[in-house]
Amino acid sequence: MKRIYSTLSLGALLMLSSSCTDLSEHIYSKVPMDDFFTSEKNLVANAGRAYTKLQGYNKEQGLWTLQLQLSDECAVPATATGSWYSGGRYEELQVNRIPASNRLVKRAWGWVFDGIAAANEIIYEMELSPIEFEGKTKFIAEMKALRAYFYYQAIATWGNVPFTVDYTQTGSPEQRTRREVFDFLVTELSPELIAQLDDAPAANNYGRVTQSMVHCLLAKMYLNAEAWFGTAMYDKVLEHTRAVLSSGYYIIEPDYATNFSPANEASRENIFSIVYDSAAIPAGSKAFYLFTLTLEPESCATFNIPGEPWSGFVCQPDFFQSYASTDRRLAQSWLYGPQFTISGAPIMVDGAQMSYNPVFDERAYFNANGGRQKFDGARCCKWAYQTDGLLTSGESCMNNDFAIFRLADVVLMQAEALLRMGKVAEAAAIPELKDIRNRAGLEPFTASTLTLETLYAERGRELAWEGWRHEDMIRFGKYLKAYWAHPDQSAETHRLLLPIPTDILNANPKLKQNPGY
Amino acid sequence: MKTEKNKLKAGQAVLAAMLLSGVTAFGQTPGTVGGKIVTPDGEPVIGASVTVKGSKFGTATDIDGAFMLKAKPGDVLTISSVGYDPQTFTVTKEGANIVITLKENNQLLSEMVVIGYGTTTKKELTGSVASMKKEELNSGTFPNAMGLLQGKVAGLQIVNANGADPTAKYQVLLRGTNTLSAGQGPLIIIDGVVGQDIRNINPQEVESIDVLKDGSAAAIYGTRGTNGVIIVTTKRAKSGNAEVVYDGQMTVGHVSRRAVPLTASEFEYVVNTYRPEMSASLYGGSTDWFDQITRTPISTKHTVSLSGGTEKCSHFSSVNYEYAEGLQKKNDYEKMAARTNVRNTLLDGWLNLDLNLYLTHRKYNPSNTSAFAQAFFHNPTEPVYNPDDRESGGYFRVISMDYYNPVAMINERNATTVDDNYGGNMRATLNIKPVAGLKFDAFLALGRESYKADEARTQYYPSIIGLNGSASISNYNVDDTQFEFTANYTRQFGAHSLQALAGYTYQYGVECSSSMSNQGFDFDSFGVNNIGSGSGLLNNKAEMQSSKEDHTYIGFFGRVLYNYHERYLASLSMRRDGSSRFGANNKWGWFPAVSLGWRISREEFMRDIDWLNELKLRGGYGETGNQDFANYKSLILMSTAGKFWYNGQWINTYQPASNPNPNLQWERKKEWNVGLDAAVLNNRLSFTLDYYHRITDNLLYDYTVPTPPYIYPTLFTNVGQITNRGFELTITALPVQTRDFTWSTTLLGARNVNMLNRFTNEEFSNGTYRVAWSIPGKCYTQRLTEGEPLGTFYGPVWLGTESDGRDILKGQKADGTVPEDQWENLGSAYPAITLTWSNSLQWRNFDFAVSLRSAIGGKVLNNMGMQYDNLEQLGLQNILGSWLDDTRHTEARTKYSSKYVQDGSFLKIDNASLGYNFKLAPNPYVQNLRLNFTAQNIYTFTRYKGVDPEVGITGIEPGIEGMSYYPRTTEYVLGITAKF
Repeated sequence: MKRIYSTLSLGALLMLSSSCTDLSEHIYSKVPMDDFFTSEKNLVANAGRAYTKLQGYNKEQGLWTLQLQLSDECAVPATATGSWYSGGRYEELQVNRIPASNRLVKRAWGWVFDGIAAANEIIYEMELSPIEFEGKTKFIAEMKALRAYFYYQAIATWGNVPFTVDYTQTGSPEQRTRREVFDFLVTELSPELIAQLDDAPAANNYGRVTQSMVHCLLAKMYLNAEAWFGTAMYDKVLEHTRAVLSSGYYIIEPDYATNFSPANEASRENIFSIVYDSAAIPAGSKAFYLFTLTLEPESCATFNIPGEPWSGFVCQPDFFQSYASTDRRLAQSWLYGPQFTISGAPIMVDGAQMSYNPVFDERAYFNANGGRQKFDGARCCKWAYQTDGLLTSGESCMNNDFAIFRLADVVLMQAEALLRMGKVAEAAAIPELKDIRNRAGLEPFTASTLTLETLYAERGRELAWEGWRHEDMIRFGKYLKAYWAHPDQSAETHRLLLPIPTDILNANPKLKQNPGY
Repeated sequence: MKTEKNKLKAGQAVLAAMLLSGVTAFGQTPGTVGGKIVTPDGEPVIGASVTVKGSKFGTATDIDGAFMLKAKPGDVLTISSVGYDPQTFTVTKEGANIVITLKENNQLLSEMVVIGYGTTTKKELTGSVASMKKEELNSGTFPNAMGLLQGKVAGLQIVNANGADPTAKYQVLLRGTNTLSAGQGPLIIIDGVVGQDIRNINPQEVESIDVLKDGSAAAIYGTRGTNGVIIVTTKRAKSGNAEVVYDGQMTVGHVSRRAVPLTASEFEYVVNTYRPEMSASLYGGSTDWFDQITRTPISTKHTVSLSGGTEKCSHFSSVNYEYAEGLQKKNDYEKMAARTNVRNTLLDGWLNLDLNLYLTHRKYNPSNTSAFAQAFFHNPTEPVYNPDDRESGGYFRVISMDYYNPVAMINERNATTVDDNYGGNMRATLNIKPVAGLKFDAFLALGRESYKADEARTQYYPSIIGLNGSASISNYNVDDTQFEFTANYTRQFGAHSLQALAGYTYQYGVECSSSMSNQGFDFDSFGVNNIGSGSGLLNNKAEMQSSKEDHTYIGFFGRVLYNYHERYLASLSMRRDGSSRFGANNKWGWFPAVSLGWRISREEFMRDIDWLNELKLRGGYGETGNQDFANYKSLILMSTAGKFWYNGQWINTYQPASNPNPNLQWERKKEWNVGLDAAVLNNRLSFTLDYYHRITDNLLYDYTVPTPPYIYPTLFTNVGQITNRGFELTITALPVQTRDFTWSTTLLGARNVNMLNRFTNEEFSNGTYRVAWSIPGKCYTQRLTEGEPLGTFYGPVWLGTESDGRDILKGQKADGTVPEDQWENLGSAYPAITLTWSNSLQWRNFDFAVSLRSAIGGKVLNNMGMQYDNLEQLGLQNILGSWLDDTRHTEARTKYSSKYVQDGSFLKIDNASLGYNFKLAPNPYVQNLRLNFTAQNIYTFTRYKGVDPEVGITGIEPGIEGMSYYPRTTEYVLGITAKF
């Protein structure tokens, strides 16, 4: 009896003493953050996510598509069947009457600030880690440059934004003015930082931040300084564009299409690209699937695409019409007129050959007026579609990389800075500017034909849908003017900045909405 | 209360039957006996049944308690009356002067009530606990044992939202919704094993079910008590002769309510008459698609149980087999279950051992719910087959987005799930004999669930034609280990009664899962059995994954039950509870509870009130928690974040997959409960009334947070507050009781008022949140708003209809839309009142039961009507047949408004059951034989215009009738029970 009793109590006591209050969690399928930063490989794997954040730039509801719609180069009209109306969120962008609740603005904000948060965390972990490896300093410099790129997009779009570069900071970050952030960024991107980065492009730094990428970024910021806060800094633009041009690493490719093709990693014009790959990048929010955004499903026959496109994004008719008929970029950028299958046979729809109608009335933009017809609007084919049949779903990733910076943009920026400094002849004489015009099949600019107006138009056609038009329109004073479905808003200068999304304001009590919203 | 007091004086053990002989005062017929039936106080007992054992003779007492019947010396009289113990009396001589005193039956009040880690009696109970014996539960057939409780407990709503799917799970909601994002299922305890799946018991094995409703009762289960605790006790081993019981059921069902589309000829008429431009969609066939994919479901159940043994060693075992067909073709369900309980008393009563082993094997072919939606809107003029279409496998098809041949969806998909649950547990009780009332319990339970789901779609499955078929296999195993140690001390010191408990409980669960999928098979015949042969491995279309998680719960608890003279009652409990899921700063919490009771009817000043048998006032307060959320939510874990082109190759990157929350903790509910129990008229009428007020704080939700400083844009954290207030009333009555006929009836009523008090604080504010997306309406239809109940519909107010059918909405703009900021509150999905009325009648060997259930006042969103009660979809797709009957409006449009947020009040005849107990002459073969016929889900009275107003009620999007639904059936069950 006693034995039983004591055995039982002993058992109970053992149970109680050993693990009786142990509530630790055992993790099997994921890695706790505290156990993660133990090797060079893992530090790199974490740092790499700043680059995978970039991959979200071109998704359907990302910053790129937002920038496209906030311009005269692209439209997302409601269709006659009501698709793409979505409660008016696209229409609000096109007519630039954007409530703070607009979902597309919120998504774009999320992309920008998630990128900043990622960079802050990576820089902190890198600096904290005792593990030293070759290229660690370079990685930290890359992260700072990427963070600067995200902040640059933030101030370009919203102006006054929450600012922190310290991962250990808790609580809501303070709001800084555009100028304050600008000043921080140009200081952060110092010659010392640039010196830590790779100079020459190479296979092992493709898709990564190099010295030229930072020069491009700085050139962009200085170019906009006058439009943003009234201080002209065009000499700085010259300094940084010259650094890129004089490096000798980049050329104006003889064929425009080289920069956008499914194998455009071979382009020597592209300076900094987001790397995409049909096999490596899963379908979804990190994929580049322009074909889905712009093509009607019938166009799949042209490119041997098994996936089902959504057909929302078209070229604005006035923009389409701004091309000279001899401009080679017209056909290199847009799909219009009668359509053919990959083998050259006409695509027949309801007994007639399918044909994209590039020019349609702006009234058809609006859902209330019935929306556009199915084949209204030229479609984008600038990033040539692969015909290997790998685009199996709507969100399959294309093979084309997306160049954020390329030499043609640098050349046009330099020409613009010179123009704005009154050095017209010098601008017209830039050899690469001639290359750009020749490549397009157009006469090179002369000192008499090169004006801010012609340069603005040239930027539009050369850089169509590359994400710069919104910023350019503001810099050239065009954004609040009437164009196509966009009304005249000359008096509403607050619309040069976007509203800070409502949810973001709610989550950070230190933020003030941009004036006028 | 004289009777009770007297009984106490007399002592409980006395079975008092007295005969006072003497000369009768009134006339007497020879060959008869007569007399009077009285209470212990000498008051007459009216309506008591008096019969002569073994004969047909019987009578009932009159208003003076007097009776007279044919009997002779030597006969045995049997006397019974509700509220008193049955008694026998042997006649010694003829005469009319027999006086028989009945002993008050307090069985009702002495019934055991399971309260978690122990038991008490109904009379000593201070919390709100509903205790149901097997006879009181629903009869009929149910997908699982939860159906036994539907409509049986006030304040406990049980909805089968999945209709006639034999694999359906019930939704259970106790005293309103108390959470935004954590689980809402009650804690199920089966034979002491905590956190069980109710599907693992066979309804025939249930002995009793106890539901701990209020905070003071549930607090003993700490962080898992908020959603209520349902304690199931299965039939236990009992000593005695070997007893074998067979129980068989056969069920046939037919559809009770469904959305009926236009028939083929109606469709042709409507197209030709109203939409001639759509005549290309007339294919010349005539197909009833619903008919094509459904059948008359028949199911059978068999249970055999065996029990017996001696006082020292007894056993109970049962084996169960059932096969059920769903309404949808190929939707079948098979279950085999076995359970055994062995009890041993050892060492001269010092040690009791109680061993349980169980095994449940479920194998089923899950339904394809979207096939019902497709069958509804599929064009009825399409034929089913088109032998010329080789690519489709000979099925007729029209290629269009999300439009598939329902017959092909059923035929070309093969899905099988096998779900095995098995385990065993042993309870060892050590009785310290020298110290009366002291015992120690050790309980060890091991259980495992092993789940495997296979699904193969052939090359002809409509949505994947061209992919050459697909296959997937997914598995998981859950292992659960529980250990419990308790000490119990029960003692009566004079008028003081004490029951004390202290315990420790430990539970560890680990779940492993894996899955794989592939597509592109050369042979459909492989199914899931050669998954590697698909082509998906080469083109990135195959997937493989696995994961493993664990969690630990630990609790220390104690409770003291005390009463004085069974008049003043008190219960005090405390639990110190911890869970691995909580953040590092909040691993442990205290969960106190106190409840008090006052049995007023036992007070001196009540002794003269005869008609009142019981009057008790109860009040309690208790705190409970809810920790039904995913593991590891407090931690910061790294997960893959896409591919990075690094030094010429793609490498995986890693990112923090969430924000850390070291403060993450349980949702905490504080609940007050006041109750009144009363019984009058010899216990023939009793009432229980409860009022409760639950305040649930620290509600969990995903909040948008700024990045940076956060590294992830949302944080799962404790912010909000919900309250639920309400009352519950149970009235039980025995209006008629005679020798041959008894009628007992129970009415349950409950009212709950839900309120989302707070959703934000200084740090986290999402503002108004929109939920309940309507597919046809293309908008959110409900809002989470501070100061309003959950499930509150918002929308444009419908004012009427133009003559052509266009809706007129309040404040509409020129294009007919109403901006969302002008939408109005259209009411809540929660019913104002729920009612159940159950009746049980017995006449001789027949018994009959009928129950009605009603919910009054909840709103239901009729998505089906919004989409299909107009011509907008007509053409390729079919519409509601009612369009032809009702409006024939040609310009009506699919547009969300208050027109489709409809009153979901209903009255259902839930269940009617007729039984017959054969009176068998004593024989060595069969002791009892019973036949039973039950009809379930018989009829619904409602003004709701959709399919069925009884829709899902749990979650933060209640009251939505979906487009894809599994219709309910009316079921007819024939049952037989035989005891050998």
